[in-house]
Amino acid sequence: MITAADDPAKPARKVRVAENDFTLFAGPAYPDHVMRQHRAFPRQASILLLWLAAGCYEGAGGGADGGTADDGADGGSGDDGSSDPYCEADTKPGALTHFVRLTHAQYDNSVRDLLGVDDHPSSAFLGDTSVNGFSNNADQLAVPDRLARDYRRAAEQIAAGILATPANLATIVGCDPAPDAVGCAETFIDTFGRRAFRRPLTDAERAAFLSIYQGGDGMYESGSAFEQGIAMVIEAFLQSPSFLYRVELSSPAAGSELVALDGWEVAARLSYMLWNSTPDDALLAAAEAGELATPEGIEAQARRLLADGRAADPVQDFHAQWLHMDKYPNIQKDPMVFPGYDPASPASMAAETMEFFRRTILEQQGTYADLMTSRTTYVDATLASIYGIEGDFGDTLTPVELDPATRSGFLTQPGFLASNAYLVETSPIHRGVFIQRQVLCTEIPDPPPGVDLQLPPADDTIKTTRQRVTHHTSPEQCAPCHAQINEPGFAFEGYDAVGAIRTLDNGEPVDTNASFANPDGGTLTASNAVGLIEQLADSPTAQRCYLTQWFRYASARVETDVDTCTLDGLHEAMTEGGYDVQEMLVALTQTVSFRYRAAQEVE
Amino acid sequence: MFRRNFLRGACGAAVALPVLESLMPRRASAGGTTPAPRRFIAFACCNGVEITRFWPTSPYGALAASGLAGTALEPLSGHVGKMLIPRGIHTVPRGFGFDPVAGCDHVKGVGHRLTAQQLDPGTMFAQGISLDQFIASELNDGARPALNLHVGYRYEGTNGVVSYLGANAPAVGENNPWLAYQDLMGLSNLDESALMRLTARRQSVLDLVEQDFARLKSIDLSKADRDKLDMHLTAIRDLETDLGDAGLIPCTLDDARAAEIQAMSGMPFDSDAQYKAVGQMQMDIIALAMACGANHAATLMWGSEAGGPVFTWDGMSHQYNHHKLSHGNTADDCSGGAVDGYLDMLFDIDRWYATQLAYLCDRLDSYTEGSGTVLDNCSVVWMNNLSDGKAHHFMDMPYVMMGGCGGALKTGQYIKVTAQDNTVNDVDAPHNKLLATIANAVGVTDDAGAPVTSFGDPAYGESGVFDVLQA
Repeated sequence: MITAADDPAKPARKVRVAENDFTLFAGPAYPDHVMRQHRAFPRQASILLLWLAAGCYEGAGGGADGGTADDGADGGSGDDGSSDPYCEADTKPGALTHFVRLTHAQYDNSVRDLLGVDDHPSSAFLGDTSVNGFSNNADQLAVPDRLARDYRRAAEQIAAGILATPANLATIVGCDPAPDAVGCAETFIDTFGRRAFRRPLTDAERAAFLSIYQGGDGMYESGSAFEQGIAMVIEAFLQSPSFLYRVELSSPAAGSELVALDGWEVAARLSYMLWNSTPDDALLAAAEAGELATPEGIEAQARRLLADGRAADPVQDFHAQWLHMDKYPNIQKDPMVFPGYDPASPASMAAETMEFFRRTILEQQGTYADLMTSRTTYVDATLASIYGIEGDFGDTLTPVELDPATRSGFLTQPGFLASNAYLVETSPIHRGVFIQRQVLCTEIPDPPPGVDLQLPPADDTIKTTRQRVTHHTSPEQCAPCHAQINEPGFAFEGYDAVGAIRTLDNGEPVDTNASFANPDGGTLTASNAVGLIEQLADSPTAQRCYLTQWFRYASARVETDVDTCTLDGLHEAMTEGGYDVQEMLVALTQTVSFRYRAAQEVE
Repeated sequence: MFRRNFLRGACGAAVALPVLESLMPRRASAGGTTPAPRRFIAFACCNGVEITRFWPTSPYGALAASGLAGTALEPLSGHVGKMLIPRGIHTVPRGFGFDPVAGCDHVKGVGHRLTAQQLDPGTMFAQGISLDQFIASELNDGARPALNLHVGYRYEGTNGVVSYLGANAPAVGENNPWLAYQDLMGLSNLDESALMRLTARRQSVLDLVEQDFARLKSIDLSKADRDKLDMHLTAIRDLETDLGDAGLIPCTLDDARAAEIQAMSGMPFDSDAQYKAVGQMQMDIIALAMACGANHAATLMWGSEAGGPVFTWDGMSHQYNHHKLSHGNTADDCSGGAVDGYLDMLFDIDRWYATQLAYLCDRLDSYTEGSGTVLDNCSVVWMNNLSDGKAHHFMDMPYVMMGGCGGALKTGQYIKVTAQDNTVNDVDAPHNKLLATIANAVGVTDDAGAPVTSFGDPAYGESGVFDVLQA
């Protein structure tokens, strides 16, 4: 049935499949004969016990009420300008490395913005691994193995490309070398160096790059002495750690655990958070003018950056990682069961979801609730047929209004529904796990070792997928977690494996009722996905979870206990403001955690 | 840590002479009575085998082509005299649910295979160095890493990595043969003036970059930050030793083959149809690297765990990828229907891999060395993460060793290494002993010059080697 290359590793060329997904999809089950063969070595009972001990309920909640740190805190905040608008207690940021390597996307975008080279050189780079679902974790971003070679190769190719197009080179340089080549080179080193390193060069660096320039003549096959010198300077900048890392070297004031970042460091944090790219000249000018020393100055720049088209990059990247969109290219459906399904659909699904987040957040100033409940989406002909929308659609995405009774926000888009489903059947378990883990930040453990992941076949009494899942997960070891997983997943049983609306499953009417422990208290009851999503849109736990995920992405680190107070405060403020996503991003730049770093334990 | 010989000097002509001198092939050193280097090549496959038709049909002892007839190993008949098959080995740490360590069978199988270390439960990466990198760090000039190549979609996750530079330091194989070849030949394909220019340019850039590193390292740093900078700096310095022509012959292929490989340039692996062509290019590069003295260890990983290509060539016309077939199911998560005849399909895949291994042996045999060939001075080990793929079996693992490793290992033999009657056991032949056996065969010694007595995590497996495999 499937003849296309169906290697699960395929989409991982750029984005890694999360290990958790693997465990869920392909957890092994020893056949009985193997187990019998090795009675002498029974499966370690301790693993199962550990898993049971992990429990479903104790880890749940993700900290809706993590307890604020302001009770009894006596720290004087505000006296040194380090007050956090969202945390009255004496707060300090979680630990972060001095050297945050650019992600591959940030490298590409920076090269594009610095040199006008827009051909994604990182596509040949050694890939990064993700932590807690995000691939930009600062601790993991290192230069291991072959990546140094990849950087060198890219730098040499970029420099050679610029050298080969003198007009480009002239534009990049920006001054005329004819009257004074060395003077022009010095100007270029100063201006380009400031942009590439996101700070002015030191005198020693200026001299070193000038020496590189002067040694450039004769180092390439072609080009004038000036051009060759400039090419070599570019080659060197692109391999320097001050370019490849966001370097934060500000040192702490004596006796302080807080290190105020200087304006240049704040500028880089801002642009790499809100653009996934290097600061522009205006932002560097603000840094130089000292405007980024105050929260107000940072806010003004944050709002300017968000209004720029470049803000789409991190907004889309965040949601792509949050939604595990690296799975989308791997979406396959059985053409015997879904004869109208276009195998190219996953690309449309991804495009729809990306367009949805960009427009809803950046063009429509949307709130978290809008993401969950907006009935506006963007479809091409392929998606229109899945949605069942009549009309004349082509290859481009066109805004449409969906039926509010059956669709609500990104969770009813075909991409989410189809990627959390099998070839033929839906997967309430995958859909439910997503709601719990990603939307509600519930800590759901992986299934225990040796669990049989095959649902029982349908028979006379067990007919629907819902019935098969219920039956299969009914043993007492399974039931505690699956009560939380299955029910929200069942709410989506009104959508088939492709994401189209259905009323029958295996000839039986679908049952989309769901009832499970509400992390905000009591029981959450819904009659279908739309009803469930509308409640999740207003759920403080879900909102705080969304905030927490953004905090991880924006900070390039996982939150720790010291961040709880700030997150609580942000959550409170966002709740009052209706959880406007752009306002949330601005607020994230106003915290002590953003403006300072923690003093490091040194060797 | 930094034992490199750098090409030092200022830019320009002044540097030209020493640069060229240092790039000269050290051919002289390999003549005379110097014994040929001994090397290790891992030929790593995934998803298990059709185990019932894998082993020789002949009794233990001397192997002949007739003993391979009708088995998956039949395509290796032409090399039977250089073959050593150890039987009854099990993996340590043992499979999912046996030893209380992290991971499912696929990630364990691939992570434990060359390391014999348990996986970090957080990252699912192995917690120690792999045999190929260990041998490379001990025997290569400047501890240059092992040549590490991959056939298939690039995959940085646990399931795509078999080689480790250390704990939690996966070495992802290069899947683009042109990049691999360029790394190997280094600058040896450039004319003299281009070589001078490029080398001097790189040296100048390196000098500048090292200044930047020195400035960053001059402040008080945490250990983690210092390690991060050191890792980067080491990687940069490794580049300076990635120059070819270290040994007996130039590290270059003939022009026609090089052109074919270059045709892959800028075309990263994106189709199963490339699988065979890319695989053979990677084998050409590995054989060349061994022959020209560029490395003492190489790893070739075919496909990735729980994946693999859909085989539609050389008489195969499969509809499902290797992993699905290994479970006889139409879906990777076994939620699909049964695949009729899947065992025959797996058998064909195993025979296809045996054919590729024969190709690699032919390549290695094509380079003469002393009175024999390069293959005679290698141990090429075909290994898998599982034995019976459907059962996810970690016992009676299918190992096939080619080449006598300079006389250190027996050849032409089929040898049971477990003392148990039933080879399907996990009693006395842990695979870390095979790894230690190979480490000794290639000539790695401990700090005192004595044989290596153990490899991997001592909490699992056993110390010692498989004496019966040693010549």
